Amino acid sequence: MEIIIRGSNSFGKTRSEQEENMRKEWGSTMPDEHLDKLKHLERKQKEARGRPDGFARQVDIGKVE
Amino acid sequence: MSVTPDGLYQFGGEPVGGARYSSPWATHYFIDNTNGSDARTGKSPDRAFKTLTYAVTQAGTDDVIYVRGQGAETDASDYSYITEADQVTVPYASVNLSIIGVTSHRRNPYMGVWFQHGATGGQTGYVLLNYAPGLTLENLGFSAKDNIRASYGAVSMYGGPYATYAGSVGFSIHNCFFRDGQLNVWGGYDSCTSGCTFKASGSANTGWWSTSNTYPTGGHQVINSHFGEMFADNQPLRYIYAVAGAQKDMLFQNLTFGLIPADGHYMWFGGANTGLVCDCRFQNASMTYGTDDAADELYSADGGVQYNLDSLKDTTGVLIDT
Repeated sequence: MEIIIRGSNSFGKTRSEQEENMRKEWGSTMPDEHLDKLKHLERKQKEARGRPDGFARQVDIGKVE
Repeated sequence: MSVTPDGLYQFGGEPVGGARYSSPWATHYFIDNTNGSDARTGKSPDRAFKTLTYAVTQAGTDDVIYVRGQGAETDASDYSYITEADQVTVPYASVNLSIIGVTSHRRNPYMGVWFQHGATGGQTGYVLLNYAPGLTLENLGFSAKDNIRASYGAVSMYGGPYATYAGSVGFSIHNCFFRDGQLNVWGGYDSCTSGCTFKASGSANTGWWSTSNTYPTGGHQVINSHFGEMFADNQPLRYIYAVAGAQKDMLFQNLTFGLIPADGHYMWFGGANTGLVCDCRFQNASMTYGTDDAADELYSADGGVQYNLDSLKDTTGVLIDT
């Protein structure tokens, strides 16, 4: 029997993963511009600390230049 | 099929045990007011809850509640409200809870996810009352329908009952719509409200109302938002109203405002409040700032709130009367 370990969150461990999955289910929670900023933010957090900080809020996403 | 702990997936099968969507930080809950049921787990879109009232009793620290849009979303007149039986209360223990609207209408995501008071009237309270520190609200509309609860407001961020006064600290609100009833900031500090629309009606209403309660608060930011009247003949007396207290270092930036009556105020700050107002635009052609409650549309009782005069413009695009 083959067991696949996919992590503990199939809906998405980061908000960007969740957003992309949500768009396949019900719709979006942010405009495309914010999704691009979110991915940039998560990438920077991962470079600095090894993983994204957690569920990013749009008030913070909007501040990404 | 073998039974394995959460997070292990048997090839080709369903997740085994627990939620389909758990995460290192949170559990995700889903609300579909049309097709959902509070008898379900709420942990996947196809097993969604029906009401926010129930969802907030199941969710906890760091959890995320996604709310599906309702009905047509073609324009502002096509809202389909979610009517909760009574006030929805987010408990203090649900630290960093997020409640997020989901819609297919990407340009204006708040459309389609609206909460309102119960239609029967006679209830007391808000559409949503929050005690939790770090609450996030995104893409949601709140309406004090027909002014049933106009004396209360649409949403309250409340910190008062807790000994530490940490209730509602650090809340964030983005892309939300407050109709008829105001946003009450009754405690807490270091909040951010951005990209929101406030449509007030009735002379008693304001858009953004705050008080320090009995504990010094402050650090509130209100940015990139619009304040307007629901009806031209029913303008609010105040759009931003901070009662006398000790709220320090507030920021009001990049805001636009609709009309106010002759005896109204765009902003009214009681004594001991401090902060900065900048980059705002007001619909009135003639207005002043200062410490004269009767004459100044931008009023600060003791001058503690400063205005960046280079960026305050009236409807003609010129600086306000200095």
